[in-house]
Amino acid sequence: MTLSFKASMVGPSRVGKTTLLTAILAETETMLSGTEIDLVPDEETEMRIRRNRKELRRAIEAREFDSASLEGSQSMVRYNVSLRAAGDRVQGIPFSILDYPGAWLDPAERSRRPEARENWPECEAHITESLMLLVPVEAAVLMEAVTPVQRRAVADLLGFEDVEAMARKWARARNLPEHREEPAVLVIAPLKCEKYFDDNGGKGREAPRLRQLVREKYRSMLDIVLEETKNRTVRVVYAPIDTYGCVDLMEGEWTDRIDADGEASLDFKGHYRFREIPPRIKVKAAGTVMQELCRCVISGQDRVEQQQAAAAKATYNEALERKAEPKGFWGAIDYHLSGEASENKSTRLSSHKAMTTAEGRRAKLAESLRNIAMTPADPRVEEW
Amino acid sequence: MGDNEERLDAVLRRRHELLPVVDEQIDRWRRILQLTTELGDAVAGTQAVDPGGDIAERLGALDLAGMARAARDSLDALATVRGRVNRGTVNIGVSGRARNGKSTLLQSLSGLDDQQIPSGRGQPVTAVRSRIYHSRTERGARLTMHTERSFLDEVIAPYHAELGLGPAPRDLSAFSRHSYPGVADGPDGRDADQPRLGPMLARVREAQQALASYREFLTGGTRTEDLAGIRQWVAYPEADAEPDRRPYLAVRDAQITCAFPIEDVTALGLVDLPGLGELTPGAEAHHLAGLRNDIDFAITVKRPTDTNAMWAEEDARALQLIGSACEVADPRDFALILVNTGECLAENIEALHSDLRNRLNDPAQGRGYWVILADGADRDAVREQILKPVLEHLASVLPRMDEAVIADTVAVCRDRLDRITAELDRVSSAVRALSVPTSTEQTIARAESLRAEVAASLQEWVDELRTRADNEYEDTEFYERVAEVHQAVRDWVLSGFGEGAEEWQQRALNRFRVDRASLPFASAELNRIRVEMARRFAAVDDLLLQRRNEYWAGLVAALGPRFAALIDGRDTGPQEAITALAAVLRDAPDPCPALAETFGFALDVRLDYRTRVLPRLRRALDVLFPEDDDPGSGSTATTLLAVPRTAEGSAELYGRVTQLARQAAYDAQAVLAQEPRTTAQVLFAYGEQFEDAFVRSDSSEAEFRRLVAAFHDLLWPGEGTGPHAAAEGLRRVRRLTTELRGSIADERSRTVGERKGR
Repeated sequence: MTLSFKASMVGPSRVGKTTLLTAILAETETMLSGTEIDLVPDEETEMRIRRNRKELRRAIEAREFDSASLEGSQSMVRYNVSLRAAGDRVQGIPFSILDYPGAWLDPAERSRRPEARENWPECEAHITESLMLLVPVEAAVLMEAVTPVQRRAVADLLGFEDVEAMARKWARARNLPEHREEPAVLVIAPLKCEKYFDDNGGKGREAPRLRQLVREKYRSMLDIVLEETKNRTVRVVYAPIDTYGCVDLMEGEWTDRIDADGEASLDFKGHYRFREIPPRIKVKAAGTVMQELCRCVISGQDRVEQQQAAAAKATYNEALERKAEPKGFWGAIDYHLSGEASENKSTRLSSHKAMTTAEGRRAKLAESLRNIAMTPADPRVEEW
Repeated sequence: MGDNEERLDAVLRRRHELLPVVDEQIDRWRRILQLTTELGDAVAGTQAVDPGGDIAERLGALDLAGMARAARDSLDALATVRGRVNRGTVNIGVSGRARNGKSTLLQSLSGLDDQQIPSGRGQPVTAVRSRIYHSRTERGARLTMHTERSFLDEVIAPYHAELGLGPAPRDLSAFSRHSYPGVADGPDGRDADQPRLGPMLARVREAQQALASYREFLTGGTRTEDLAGIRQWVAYPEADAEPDRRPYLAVRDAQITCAFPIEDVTALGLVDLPGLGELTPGAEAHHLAGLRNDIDFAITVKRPTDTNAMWAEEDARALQLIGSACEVADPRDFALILVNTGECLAENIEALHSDLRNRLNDPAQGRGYWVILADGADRDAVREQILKPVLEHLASVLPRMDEAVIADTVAVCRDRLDRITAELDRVSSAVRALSVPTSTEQTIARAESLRAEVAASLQEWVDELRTRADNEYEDTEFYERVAEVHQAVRDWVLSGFGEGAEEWQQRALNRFRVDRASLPFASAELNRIRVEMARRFAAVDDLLLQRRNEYWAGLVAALGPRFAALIDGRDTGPQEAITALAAVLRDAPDPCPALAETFGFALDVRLDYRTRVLPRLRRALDVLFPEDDDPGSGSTATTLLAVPRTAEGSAELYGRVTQLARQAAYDAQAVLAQEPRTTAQVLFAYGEQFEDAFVRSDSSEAEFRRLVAAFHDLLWPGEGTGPHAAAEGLRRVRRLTTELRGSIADERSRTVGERKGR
């Protein structure tokens, strides 16, 4: 397994996860501008992002686009990105965000699906090591459900069952003794919030209602997390994100459907229009995800340094050995931020010049990481 | 002025002074009679509404009819006294069977002749009994006419009764068509009655045949006639007159005024009393009534002819009648037997005189009846031998007779008062043994029960409103209506705003060319679309108003059938019903303003589109404003509306305006889709407030009591029978008993006070 900083994502497919990642990349790049540090996706992630950008361009040409119907996530997707210094083609600080079907948490479901059986050990390990649980929410589903029958359809459409099961699994892992010292952040991220805010070119005044609805609908998930992390704290971040920033929900369409259990329910599809011509993408608050991940890393690093200063080296090493078995978060801190990775690489390069260059890049990376973590949060973002 | 005149005037003055006292006493006794009658009705009422009940059983044993009879006795006695003291003249009645010279005597006494007081041979000629008053200045006749009703009741009905013909005809037309039999069988169908009934039947048939001659005079009014023309109004037609002309049948009473040939009296009246044996129905009763009410003294005339020279049984009966009419006075003070000697044989006169002297006035028994022998046709003899002695006699005995009549009446009244008091004590005793809630207690209990009943049903109604206000309540009808209106608006948008996409684009292009800009057209269109869209969404108003009507209907139903009964018979909708209820409560005898106000509050529900929806819907339409309120904010809308002034540009603008309109319509429907819940919450709040104010306000308890007190019968319409009604009846009996006791005490104190004062 790659030694990376991990996050897990749970939410219905087609909620806009790839668009979210695209937005995260875009905002992180803005934060990194002028630093010679890039956020680089791996090949598969880049393909997804490329495809997503192509669809967006087509929509802009058409002046209108529709959101896809929401469904439970059917397959596992891993989004890998790295913070990497310019010119460094291999190394960097890798982040891995795993999106997988919540239904896999059910052993019976897993037994029916070969893909689930095959990937579950990897999934489980990823969830256990995830610093962050990211819950994307389609804001329009919450906000546009005005009749009782529409409101009743919300829970299914937003996959509350999967989300809550996943939250329990993640929180329980975070509460294990070996992970109790590690950071834990739960990010609830309503997406496509353009219509409800007036701080990004829109005229909406419904931010309080969105916040209230999210609190109300995700209360039981938050209760589960609280209940499962009695021996530690979890940072809960509410981050309503504009993944486009230049669209308005034009019409919401509720249509009849038969759900997986054969019961009559409703489906929701949003029809969007561009607010201005030509449209200019104005992502809002998407950087929160990277910021929170960087904060986790920085806080881990700070903790290591504090312990180094406070204890004898031997004691520290013992502790490090204990925490690094298996390598996990602390191993990743040590490997990527304390110089092991570059030393290994330098050993291979066998050149002093190369070693000096690598050390410089490491320092820049660490600084960028800290800068991202320290960037003030978007005013929309709240810690609950 | 002679001595007699002075003394008789003094009698009349004294009588006149007594009149107001007697009238007051009559008023008090009338009140007592009214109360005893009402009490009887009330007791009968309790028995009727709850026949087997305790109340009916206990009160059933009482003799309330006896109380009313006693009151009537007193009133009868007082009426006699009143008749006496109310007379402005000293009246002398002249009685006697036909053909004994009664009319001749009246002529001699009054100075009138055959034209005014018909006398004659053969059949009796007096059709209407006159009263004749002495006046030195006035001369004439005043006739009081029958009404149709009094004619049928007093003239025709007695014939029907006597002849056994059933009830009298109900009106004159029926009388004119009535088929009378040829032979009078009488009620018993005995031939023996034929001689008596035959002439009666002939009289009534004559009256029927002559109806046309007097029908026009049955007015109930009075007529003044000259004495020269009075005969046709008081006498049967002469043999040579038209047989079917009988105007006298229309006369109810005749008063003749003329100067009597006397000097020493001013206030004198003569009353022609109907004779016994006259073949008219009810002759005897009329005679007695006349004796009782109209006269101070009676002269019985008897002419001793060959066949009439003995004091016969009918003569004795006439004298007995006179005695019974003046029970308290000695009949010998009250009556005189005139042996009319005119044209009679001396032996006949002597025979009768002897008969009177020996058989009627037994010498062994001291004072007998006053008998005078005189010729009734001899006016001088009548004046000197009859009138003067009679007036002298009356001047002497009338004060004594008046005292006796009054004393007797006082005794009768006191006795009846005692009887009524005794019966009233029995009533009180029976009533005391019965215990029912007082009217106030019952009103309070009823008010509480009504309040509790209404509170329960109002709470059910409010619970129903609460259910509707719940998040999960689905007003399917409303959502469907909203979807329908939204779809209609959307169709309008997509059909080129009602004019077609191509036409719209062409119009846009034309305007671009005129204005050399796209923004003016786009702005105007957005403004037009915004206004039209707000107007089109007003189509949901009907459903909002329907919800309000349903709220009112629910309220009316929750108030229950008792409140509905307050406006029973008004076939109205719920709004009108609530308005009417408010008016009923406001205009009640003791108004219930707070309850009425709560109805006013319920009527003031504002749910219309303009008040409820438009303010929020307008915000949904903001997207259709071509510019932001703050021009410095860098309106993005402008970038949408600025298009090339080409066909492509107009198509592009059409697409963008359509998108904005779709968004506005969608947002507007979302506002409307939230309306059922908001509306339901509003109605729930109104309902809750109504229920609270109606049942629990400060004044609610008091006003429910007033309501029950004022409208008890309407609120509990089915309670005309049963124990509740009997209890109500008992309360009435109690109230009347108390009132009657008060009236009796008043009468006793007055009677005692008057006796002391006298």
